[in-house]
Amino acid sequence: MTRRGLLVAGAGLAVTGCGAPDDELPPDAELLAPSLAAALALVETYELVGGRAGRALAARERDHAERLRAAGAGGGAAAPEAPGGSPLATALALEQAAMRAHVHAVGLVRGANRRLAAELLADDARHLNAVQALLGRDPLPTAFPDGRDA
Amino acid sequence: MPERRTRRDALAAGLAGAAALALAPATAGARGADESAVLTKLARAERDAVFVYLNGTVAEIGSLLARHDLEHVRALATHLQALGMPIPAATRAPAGLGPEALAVLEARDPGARLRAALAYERSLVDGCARSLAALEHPNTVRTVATVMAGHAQHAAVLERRAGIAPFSSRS
Repeated sequence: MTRRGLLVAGAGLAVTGCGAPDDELPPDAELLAPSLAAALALVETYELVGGRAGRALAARERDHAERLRAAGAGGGAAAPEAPGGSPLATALALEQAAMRAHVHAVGLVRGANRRLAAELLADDARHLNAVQALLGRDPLPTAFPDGRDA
Repeated sequence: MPERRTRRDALAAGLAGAAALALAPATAGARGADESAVLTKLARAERDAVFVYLNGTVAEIGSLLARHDLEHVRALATHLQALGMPIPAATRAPAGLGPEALAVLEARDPGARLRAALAYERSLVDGCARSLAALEHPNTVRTVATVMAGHAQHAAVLERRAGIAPFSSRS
């Protein structure tokens, strides 16, 4: 199955209304917790990257963390695992983990938190793009930046 | 001790339940219609973007952006098909394009074209963001959010090419 196939898989199921009722879903605090953990890990990593780009990206991830906390995100999720290596390589892996967390959350969170998760996903797609450019990689490897490849 | 219910209470509860059952399909149908309309509009916007980038000569990345936007169309089409809706046909002429799309085609020099493409990509991000509230199903929301992220990436690349400081805006 292709990535796009995976991405849209379940569309047929979804339209038949087979999803869990809203009250069976975890609370938004829990759904957004992995996004917060990833944002905090990225702040630390971008501080290690340093320079103008590192400082700018750290500030933006700090902003993500603040917005997530304001939305009630819980603080109990484990930081995503990242491979060793250069801070930029770590940042790349963490951005991908953050995007996976946002994609999971965006389909399930309620009300204004849906827009928040989508905006953070879009913003991290831009960060990923910047990191790929700094690493000398193709900055636009996919039409669907969801953290599963790049 | 359980509260004692009167016959009138029971009748009222029964009527409320019947009303809820009668209204549920209509409400779900209305939401489905909203979702279909929103997805159709988004797919049409992606079709327009393919046309713009195939005809707008946006640096050397125009064809890549067009390819990505065609993939966006296909992903949205899967959801439209699941809803039994037709997929918008390819855009073949500038008639009907929005002002941001036309600005890319009408830009007079490469620099102006890059800036117009950047504004266009931002408008596509905004279009996806505005549509999110009308969507119902988790996978549809996820598809639209990743399409939105795709346009955010396009905007980032265009910003770099246009010499605009990265991260001067939120998305």
